[in-house]
Amino acid sequence: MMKTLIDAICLKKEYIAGGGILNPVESIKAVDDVSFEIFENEALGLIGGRRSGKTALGEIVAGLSLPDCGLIKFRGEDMANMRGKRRRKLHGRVQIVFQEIAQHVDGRMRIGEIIEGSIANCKKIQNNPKPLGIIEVMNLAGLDVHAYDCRIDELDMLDVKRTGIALAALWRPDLIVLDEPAGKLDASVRGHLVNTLKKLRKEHGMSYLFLSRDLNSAKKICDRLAVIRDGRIVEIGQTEKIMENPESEYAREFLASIL
Amino acid sequence: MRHKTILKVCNLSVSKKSNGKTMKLVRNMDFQLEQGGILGIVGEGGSGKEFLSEALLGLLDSKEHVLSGEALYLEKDILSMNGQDLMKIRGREISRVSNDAVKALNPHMTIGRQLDILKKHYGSECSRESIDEVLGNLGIEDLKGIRKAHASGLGEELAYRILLAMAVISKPKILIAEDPAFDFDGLKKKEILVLLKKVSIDYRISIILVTGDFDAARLVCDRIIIMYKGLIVEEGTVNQLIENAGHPYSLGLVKSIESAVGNSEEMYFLDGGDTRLDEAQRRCPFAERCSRRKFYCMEEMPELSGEGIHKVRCLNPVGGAE
Repeated sequence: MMKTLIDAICLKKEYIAGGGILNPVESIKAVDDVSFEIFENEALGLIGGRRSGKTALGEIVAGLSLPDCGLIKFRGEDMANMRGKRRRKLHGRVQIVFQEIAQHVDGRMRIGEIIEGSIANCKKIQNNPKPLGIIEVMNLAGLDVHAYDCRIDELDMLDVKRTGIALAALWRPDLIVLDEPAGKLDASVRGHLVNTLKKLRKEHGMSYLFLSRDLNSAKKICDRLAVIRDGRIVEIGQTEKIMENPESEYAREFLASIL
Repeated sequence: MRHKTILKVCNLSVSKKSNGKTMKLVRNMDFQLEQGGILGIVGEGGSGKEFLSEALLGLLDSKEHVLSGEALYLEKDILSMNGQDLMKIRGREISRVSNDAVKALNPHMTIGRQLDILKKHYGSECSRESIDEVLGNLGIEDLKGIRKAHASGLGEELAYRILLAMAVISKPKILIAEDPAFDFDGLKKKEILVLLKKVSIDYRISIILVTGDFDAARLVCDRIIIMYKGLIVEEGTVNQLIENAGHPYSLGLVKSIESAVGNSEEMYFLDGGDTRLDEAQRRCPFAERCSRRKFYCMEEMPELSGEGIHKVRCLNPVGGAE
């Protein structure tokens, strides 16, 4: 039987939006009573439109924010109770690749320096005497050697995405939360990224939480799909089943929208 | 029936001067837009399609950019027009709708105030009734509520509908739509594209759809031009491009979209290469990434050639178009 990696029980998260002269204050239910599990070596796709709550849920799973109520467990341990060293170790086990990667890395540093810095961090936190070397890390994400000397704004979008994946994969985590990994990518090279992600999972046995609006990429990578709308999961099941025979009306509409 | 040509672009080139160098962003573009037609200009990152659309509206700064060639709108050359003449055609004759609708609207004014300013600007050509009619026709129901709202309180889709209405109320002849479905998910994307088609039919507007998304273009366009590094590499009808693509880049685009939709395990992709614009070189711009490359592709610039409206710029084209 597959071991449970992430166990999310009745998660809720609200945000306060607006509050200026022009906007009335309103509370937005980003995540509304969501429960799901992610198993070891499994890719779960969370698909939904804009403002459906994908990113908010992804940040909770990655341990970057806490839910307002509900439980989120990593290998049976409540994430909310993890403090200090244990919390730092958790960040090594669960990594996130943000949607806007360029905003999350130092634009003044070269890609090689950024990756080397992360490798040093990984060595320190995980007490790992033999972390991956820089070339191995760049190969993991399919990053070309020429990127070593470039800054993030000098790279094309595919290499920016690869940099994000390299920075997460070098920790050899149990789970990577991928927030719109193929977003803003030209159609002619999107396949490259999807194939890299599939290869990475096959070779290193990690789990993915794949947050996306792009059904085509999600169905290639994920074992299970969950359709999310207004912070609620409306349907969850095996990818083939959801693609061929969706039960909820929203999932049916969403699937029919593949052009 | 032969349609009237409303826009004829001949040998249009756009260069940018930066750090003492001149970069060719758009090179020798030739195309025509027929009245009531929807022309797709498809190009991925670095193809120069945005510069083309800005050049057609006379929006490029003449200190930084050098334009050559002609863009004849009803026999008048847009590129040689002065500021006053351009003001007369911008919005009234040639209109543009950008993809980020929420940012394109003024955040400080209510939508009603912005519509009133437009009404004043266009004078007798449009009345409050005609504006309301356009808004209603584009699927905006609560007109009173919308007039009181600010842009930041609207969803992306509603904001796009309003922006589109603002572009259409002057009944322009040409509408340039930039990446209309870029930020929408599948459901909304289809709705927006259908809306553009409706606008084209209802108001008899010719549309130039400038996009990086071939998938969106094939849904609504009559004819598609595929750009790569500032050059037209192929043009033809949607069917000609899907069934009979002659340029390896167009074929790659079609294949990668088909493999994404299909059930194959692996996804097709074109080998990466530097897709950013470079100095004008006398060789095929796609040669570095091309799987059908021959030695002469690195030494010679192919011409755009072909019969009828299907034209390909390739020295070793894929079977169908040879």
